[in-house]
Amino acid sequence: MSTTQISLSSLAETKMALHSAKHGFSSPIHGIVIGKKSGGSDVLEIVDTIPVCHEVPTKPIVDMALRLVDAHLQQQGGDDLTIIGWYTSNASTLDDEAPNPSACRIASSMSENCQEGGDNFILVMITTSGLLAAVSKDSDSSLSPLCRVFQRHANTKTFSHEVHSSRITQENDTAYIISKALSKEMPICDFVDHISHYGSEDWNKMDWIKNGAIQL
Amino acid sequence: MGPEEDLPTLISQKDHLNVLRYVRAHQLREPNLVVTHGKLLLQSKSLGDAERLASLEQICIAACDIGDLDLAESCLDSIVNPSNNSKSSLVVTKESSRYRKLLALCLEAAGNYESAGSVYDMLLQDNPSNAYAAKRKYCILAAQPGKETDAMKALDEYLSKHPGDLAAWNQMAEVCLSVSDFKGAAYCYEELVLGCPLDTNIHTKLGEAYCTAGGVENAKLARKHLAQAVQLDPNNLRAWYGLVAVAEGYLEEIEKMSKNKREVEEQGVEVAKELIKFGGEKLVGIYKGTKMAKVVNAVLKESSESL
Repeated sequence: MSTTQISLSSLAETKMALHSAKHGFSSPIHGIVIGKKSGGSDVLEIVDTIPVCHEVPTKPIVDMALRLVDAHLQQQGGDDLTIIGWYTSNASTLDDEAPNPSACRIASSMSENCQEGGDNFILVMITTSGLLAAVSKDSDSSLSPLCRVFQRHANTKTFSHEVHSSRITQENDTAYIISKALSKEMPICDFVDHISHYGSEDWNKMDWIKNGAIQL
Repeated sequence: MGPEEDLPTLISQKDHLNVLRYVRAHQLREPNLVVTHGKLLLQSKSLGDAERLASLEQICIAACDIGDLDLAESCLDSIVNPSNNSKSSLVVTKESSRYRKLLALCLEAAGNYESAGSVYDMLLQDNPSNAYAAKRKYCILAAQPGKETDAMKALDEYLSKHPGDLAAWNQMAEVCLSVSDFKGAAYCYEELVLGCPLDTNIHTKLGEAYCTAGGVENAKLARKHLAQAVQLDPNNLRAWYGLVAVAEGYLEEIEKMSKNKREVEEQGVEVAKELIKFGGEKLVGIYKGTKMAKVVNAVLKESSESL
């Protein structure tokens, strides 16, 4: 169990919120969390997220998405960003209890293949209550956080250890940024959208890796 | 409405009646569109009886879909109590089974599962082979968190009585996937393949389910179905990715086997390697000149180098 602080960027939270709002009414969503461990300080920075699918993920989808994202990060170079986690939201809007089993399974196997041992690997869950709080601008976002973060439990090795909210920091104005993005209905495209729409006119614009249309 | 009419045209012409008809005819799920145009349509007085009732039904369902329960209730009301202005010759009573189906749907939308369940029970009493009512009973269970096992049992029961209902098999497959029962999901997709043997998407999903389930035999089946998927539709990008992924998955499974057993699978290994090369070339070709080309090339180069 690590004791690192976790910082969430508005970009990452906004993308996860948009992905969840687009599909969350009856499908689970899954995606990759990108970030870095800040050198000296003990902070795990969640910089960006890449949406993968809005259905229960199967091995071919997860494997291909991970490899493509890996290659993309390597080619980008520069920022030292790596895959540091997986995010999900449950299919049922009433179920904010715990991340769904497929997400936990994926997080477990990814953390085992992690270079530094996987203790810092995170599983982020988007909660419906958090999404509702983000949309209704008046509520205090600390009561219903958009993201709950889980890490690998030291003994059971399952992703059941929840990171306490005191260890999670958000950027300023995140709630405002998210509600603006949601009300503008900024388009977001995931890996499955990209591979399902080959042949359509918009296919070339479906940039699931960068989702450049999302401007804060 | 002629065949040259398409939805965006009808919307821009504000032809509310035909927008609703189009959505109905093409069985689209566009609740926001239906509610917006429906509300405007209902204000016009020149609506024939049959059209009025059909539209009210459609708007009611759409209202339930987006959670506008007030609108849904008022539609229900208007169906059985037509306004005094129109001299309706089509009278709908509350005993009508079509009305009761709508009523139960609205009860479900309001979360009143007990009442909805009793309406479906009555419908089933009147007609024990009412598949719609039986399916909705499953949906009521599926909508409540914590009742997954009950829901699965209900769906199982439904499928044993209606084994030809492909939509139900599809639903069961999704339920199996959500509880990580990949073998079960594969079984359901096999039933779907029996019903739609030329559907590339079903072969793709079946192959993916087998691959995720794991094991050499499943990996071989996965390979077979993904190969069938790309043959049925060479433009199925998901299937091309899947083909490369399951062929690699097969090779991984082979690696786990003991040396003696591996000899039996020699031909399979050759086939898998060829599939990876074949799929890889196709993918590189598809992405040529696009933004993702570099990334895809890197991944597939890695695949072919590891062969």
